[in-house]
Amino acid sequence: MIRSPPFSPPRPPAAEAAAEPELDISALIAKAQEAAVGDPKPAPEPMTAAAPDAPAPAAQPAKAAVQAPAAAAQAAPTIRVDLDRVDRLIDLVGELVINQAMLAQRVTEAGLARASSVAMGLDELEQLTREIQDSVMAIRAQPVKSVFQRMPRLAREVASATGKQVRLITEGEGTEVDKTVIERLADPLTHMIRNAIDHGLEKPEKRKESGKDPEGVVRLSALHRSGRIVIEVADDGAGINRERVKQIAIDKGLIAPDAALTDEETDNLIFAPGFSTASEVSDISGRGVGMDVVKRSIQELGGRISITSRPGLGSTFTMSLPLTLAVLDGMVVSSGEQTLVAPLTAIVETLQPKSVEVHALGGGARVISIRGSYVPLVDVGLSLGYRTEPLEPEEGVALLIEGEGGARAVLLVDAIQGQRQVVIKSLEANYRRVPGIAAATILGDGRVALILDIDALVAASRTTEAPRLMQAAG
Amino acid sequence: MSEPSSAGLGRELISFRIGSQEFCVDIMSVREIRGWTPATALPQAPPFVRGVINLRGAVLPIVDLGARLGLGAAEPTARHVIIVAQVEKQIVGLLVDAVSDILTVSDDMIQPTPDVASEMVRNFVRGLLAIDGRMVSFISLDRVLPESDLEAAA
Repeated sequence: MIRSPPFSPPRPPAAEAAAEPELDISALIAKAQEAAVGDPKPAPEPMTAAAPDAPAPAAQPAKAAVQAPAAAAQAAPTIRVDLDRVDRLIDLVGELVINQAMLAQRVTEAGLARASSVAMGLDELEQLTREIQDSVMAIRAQPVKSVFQRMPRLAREVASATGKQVRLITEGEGTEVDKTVIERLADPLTHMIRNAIDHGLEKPEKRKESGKDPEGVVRLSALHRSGRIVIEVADDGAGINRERVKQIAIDKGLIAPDAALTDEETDNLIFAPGFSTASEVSDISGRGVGMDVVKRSIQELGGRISITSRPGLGSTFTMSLPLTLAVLDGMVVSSGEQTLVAPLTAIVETLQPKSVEVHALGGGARVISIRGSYVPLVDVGLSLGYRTEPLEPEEGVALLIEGEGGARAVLLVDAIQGQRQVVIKSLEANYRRVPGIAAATILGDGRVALILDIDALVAASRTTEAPRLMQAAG
Repeated sequence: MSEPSSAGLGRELISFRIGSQEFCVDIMSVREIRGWTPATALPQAPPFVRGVINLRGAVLPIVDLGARLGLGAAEPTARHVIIVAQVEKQIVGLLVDAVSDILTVSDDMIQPTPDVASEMVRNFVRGLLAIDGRMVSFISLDRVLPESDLEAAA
């Protein structure tokens, strides 16, 4: 970059360049600065006009010409584009990727050798399409800096309100993620920073007692990991007081008094709705919104949040978010003759149900016992009308899912086909809302697969009203 | 040379066959014609909605027009045809047996629909055409998709 005064010309007057043909570029800049300082009104002479007069070697103006755009790059030219246009482009590239995959599959089926020129050409095409996809996605991407920038001030405010000493360290501000994700990240992040300082860090005196620096450290970092953005909020406070968390959960009736929980399960209790560990409600973080709200807003973005905590050393909240909202991580399953996609973020675990674990409850409803607790069983094929007879539990696979507000249910499907990133397509654009279905997508074979609406399915399993509504809509 | 028809400009219609009957729609509403591809069934859909297919990235509902018009459900084969049509702001695929012709007609060639009891006729048929001794029903697509949850629930 040229560190010249703002109004100096990009290169010295032509006469000077002509006088010293061997002048190197930095000397040239120095001269330019001198000229600018010396001459009160430097002539903003355009380059093209100066060049013909200068009998200097051709290399020199060329060098100067390289420098000039570099100076202009300080304010890189930008254009404003309608978001719809970008989204249309992203859509089309998604199709390109699917089409390319289909073509590759057909070539393999046609029995062409890997080394054939067609197969090799296809490989190149694949690389190219991937590159195009990345570039197009990058149009919507923005660095997380805009959100991270607000946090130091927040940290100072919370610290002074709670009488704690905090040093906020941010890392990976340049990490890029979809604009929509950034916009919706601010609230949960604010809440987590507040929590980390208010609940996570100890008071300075207490930190001294335990031999720590009185100034607590909260580390906010972002990085890309396997196609997702991972954001961590780590504090070096006391860690989660598991005894107290458990006691509160028992007091609030969230768990049974004799429940045997692992450390991890205990830590995750803080995400339970209506949970708050602060013994006194402070106006910093105890405002009736708990970590369950944070978890829900992260899930709405298709993300996951987890916590690791070590007593005396601090806690780390890790959020993993998709880079874009146009695609979704899905579990591809089959039910009846149909292929369906379940959002991966909602799935807690998959299990192989046994007949003895499944119990009939009332007319037609079934529950399954998972480690001692009864969870409603939703036969996906049956509730979507893909089959008329209920699936035998042992013939299928069960997905334990967690919907909004922590409501759990088990979805029974025929088989799991695998995990895949899918492009979300609207079903309403040309049709209408379908109960139990969130959206559609297009799989590698070019066929449409439906994405399950987990919350609607869970709700349907809880009330008798919902199935009737679904019937009526049909 | 050809005098502009007093009954309005000539219009182009695309005619197609379902079973033994012939129908036509305004060519301006037709976006493209493509072969049958298996559709993904939709839950809780009315019987005439065969499901959805992928039309270059858009999710396109397929209506079995025969079933919609009360002629009985089709059993689609590779010879069947999907007419991709624009209905207001939505795009819908119409499953028919075969596309037969493009007709250029003037408005005065369209005869008013005779009064018959069939509700299907009242809902869809806008007029009748006599083409080379065959009868072609001119249908409107406005009500081809299930209108809303309201209609379906009623």
